[in-house]
Amino acid sequence: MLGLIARRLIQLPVIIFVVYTVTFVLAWLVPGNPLESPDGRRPDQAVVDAMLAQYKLDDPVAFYFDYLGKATGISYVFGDAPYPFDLGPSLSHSDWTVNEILAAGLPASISLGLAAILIALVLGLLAGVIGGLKPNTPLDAGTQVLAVVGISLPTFVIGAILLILFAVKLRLFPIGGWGDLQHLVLPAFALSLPFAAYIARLTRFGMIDEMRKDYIRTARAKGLPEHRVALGHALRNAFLPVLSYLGPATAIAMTGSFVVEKVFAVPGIGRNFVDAVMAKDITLIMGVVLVYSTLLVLFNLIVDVLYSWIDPRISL
Amino acid sequence: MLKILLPILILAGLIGLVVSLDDERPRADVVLVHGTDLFTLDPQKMSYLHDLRASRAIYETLATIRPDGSVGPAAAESWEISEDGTRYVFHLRDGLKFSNGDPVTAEDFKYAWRRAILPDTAATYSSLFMDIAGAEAFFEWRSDLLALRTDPDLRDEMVADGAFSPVDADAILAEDEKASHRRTLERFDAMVGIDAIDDRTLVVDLERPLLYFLDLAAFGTFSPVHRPTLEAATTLEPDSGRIKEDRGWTKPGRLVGNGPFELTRWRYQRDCRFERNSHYWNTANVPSDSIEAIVIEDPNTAIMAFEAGEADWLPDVLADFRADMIEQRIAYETRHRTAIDAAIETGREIDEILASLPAPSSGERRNIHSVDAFGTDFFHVNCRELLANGDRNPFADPRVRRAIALTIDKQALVERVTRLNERTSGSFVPAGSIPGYQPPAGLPFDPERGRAQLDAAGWKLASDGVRRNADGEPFPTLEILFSTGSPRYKDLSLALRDMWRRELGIPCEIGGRPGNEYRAQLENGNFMVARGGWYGDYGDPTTFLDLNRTDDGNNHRGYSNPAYDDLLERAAIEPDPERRMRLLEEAEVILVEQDLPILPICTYVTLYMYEPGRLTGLTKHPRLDQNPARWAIRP
Repeated sequence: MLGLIARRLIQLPVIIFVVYTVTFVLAWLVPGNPLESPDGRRPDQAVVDAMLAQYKLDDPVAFYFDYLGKATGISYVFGDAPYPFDLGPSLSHSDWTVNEILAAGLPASISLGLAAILIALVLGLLAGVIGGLKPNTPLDAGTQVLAVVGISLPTFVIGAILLILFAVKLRLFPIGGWGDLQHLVLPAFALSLPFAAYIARLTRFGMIDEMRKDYIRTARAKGLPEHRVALGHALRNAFLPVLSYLGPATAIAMTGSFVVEKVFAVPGIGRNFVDAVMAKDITLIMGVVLVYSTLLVLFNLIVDVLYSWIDPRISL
Repeated sequence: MLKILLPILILAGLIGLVVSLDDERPRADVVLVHGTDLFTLDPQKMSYLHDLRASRAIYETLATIRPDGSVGPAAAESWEISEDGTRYVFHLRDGLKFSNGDPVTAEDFKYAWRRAILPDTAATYSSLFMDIAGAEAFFEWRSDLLALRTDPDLRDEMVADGAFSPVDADAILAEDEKASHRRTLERFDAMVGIDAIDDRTLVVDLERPLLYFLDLAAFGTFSPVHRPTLEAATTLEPDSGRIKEDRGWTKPGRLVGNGPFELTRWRYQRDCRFERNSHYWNTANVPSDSIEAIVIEDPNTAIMAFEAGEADWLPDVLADFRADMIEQRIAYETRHRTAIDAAIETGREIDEILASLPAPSSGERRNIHSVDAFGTDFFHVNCRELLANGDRNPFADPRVRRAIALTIDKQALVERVTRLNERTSGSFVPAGSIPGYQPPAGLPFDPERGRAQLDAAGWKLASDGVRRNADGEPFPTLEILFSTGSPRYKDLSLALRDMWRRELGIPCEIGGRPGNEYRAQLENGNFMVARGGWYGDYGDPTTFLDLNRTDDGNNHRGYSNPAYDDLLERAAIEPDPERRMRLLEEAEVILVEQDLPILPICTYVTLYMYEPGRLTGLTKHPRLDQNPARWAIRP
């Protein structure tokens, strides 16, 4: 297992480097000028040139290596940068560095994503186990229908419905924003539904499959109560596909929540990413992509480790 | 089971760990909603409307725009203007202080204005400073100096161009960054007409009589900055000597301003809080103790936040159903028509009248307000001889441009397409927005005349129903370029397409592009007709009319008429305000009645959402220069 972890950690910089290069080329090729206001205000050409020189945007190759050096900390080691992992100034929000923007948004995005996965796990496992233990009953059909609805309803619709119902009409939660657990509930719930639905289906199929197997018959023959048979034995194996789904799902929930962040005014990273692409804010695009890809690789690694821990038959 | 519960427990623990313990503060007196965060609080770098509005909270300019659109004193208590209109002497108030108690002096204004002019700052609005004597020459000198120090190989070339004498060039290359910086400051003092005679007197010399310079002096980018703060944030880049500023100086705790409020919190894409600056000279007349701007990007969520009482003012309602909200407001006013008309007779203000009426019933509302903005919605027409693909451009002929202008039914557009009932406009400068200026009426909706213009241009209807020129070539397909993202421009483009197909019988299509692609095509002249839009910056017609000068950076239309340029030139040096306005009016007649490089549609409106009678202190003058020092909530 240590070998796997070491191997993955060695692969990490290579993956990140490839992602960096591809993203840089794409971001550079996007038409537009990051230093221009979207309402079409265009400073004189002399000022535009001065801006480009200020941010070293007049030379892509120099920019590429300069940014690489600062972002990786190599420049810091050689004393050319004030601190390691300097992702540069944001081009469109010139008062902020990309590091500050990520530091401001990551806690919100991470806790929102984790909360959503948590809710999804609870809801999904519950619905999946119920459906899996009593397949083809009205109860099963009910949970199945809910799961289909959860997958197919777009989050902005669910978000708006939740807001109107629980925030505007019932006044149980604030409209939007961030700060405490109250702010977390509605967006996390809205974000969790598609994941919950998928987990429910994975669990249901897993349970139906496992409950037919020989070891379950053995467990029953031993006289174990049915709930221990189902939860202690069958679920443990039915959970494995859920677990492997959990790695990418957590990464997606933490990073791909820009619709939910927008609807619920959560100050996360997701919407920065979209805004950055629209504004061709190259440094911010690069910063967000680097952080995201690192997270994605790490989460897949964590899941692989958990996998072998839950199922000792899998050796890494 | 435990092994399955464990990941769940770990997740729950992580959330508890990550959810930051927040420093909640009591709700501010006035809460407004921004669709996106402030871009910068560095006054010299501002260009966005909401940034400039925030500058009014934390900085104070020499002059201010009063609620009626006129210019009044602010940090300066008085000023004198020389007879020829080229020298302005500002007298600062006695005892002005920054938010940290330091005195505000004329030198602080000079320092800030110098920042705006320096190419190192690369300020979007540096052009507003370029009418100050010597500013443009200094900008060029400094740009050359930076270029030379960045790349010494340019020396011979620059000497040959006359940018520097050989002696100067060698001296510039030989000295270190500090000496280069000193040279720059000395050069500025010698070249540029901004002088701090003493702590309270600022003398500004202009290149030409600038009748609206007071208006500029009231613009946010002319705000002063606190020198010690900026100097502490400044470093000189090795070699080039370019002035670099640590961008962190605009954060709470570091930012020092001279405005009615001080910045106490700014969380990225989240909120921005301003609290009373007790050192402000006029703080006794500032009704609110705190102002907060919260960021809600989703337009529907913003309205819900307002309805739930979490915000007092939405400065820009963008929800898709906003036209329906306007209809609800009209329904409310219609029901109370007689009472409202009677109250207006007595000279009462509309918000007050609305507040005194019974509450709206369902299907009605009184908290949406459509106000005219200082901007014009228009379409660009490419005036170049050739299109980007090399084909001949039929719109190079002004008669063809007049033909498409004459066949736009603007009233139908604002009533049935945008549904916001904006004021239709035949001129580029919004009517009634600038005292003393009467924009021309422009061209009417007259399809008959439009067809005649097209015939006169040689595009006659052939027997097969196609418009062809003398060579028998068919009229090329007119493509209307617009930016996708907001339905407004797609809807307008579709309606124009139908009008031109129907009235002129020319083939017409629409072409939507994402914002940045649209902009690139516009700037490269790769279009025939494209959506436009422009908001004025200062209270003078040239803030619009300059856009159509032959060499203007925003002249994306490739329009060039020596007669037009000449009128603007003459107006620029005309010291008599009355005669100057007549020259500008004459120029605009060429623009909107003869040449039509732009097709004006309507005056933009901004939709405000606030409870009338509750939030006070908002002006409805088209300049919409909202000053937080006037905002108040009435209980």
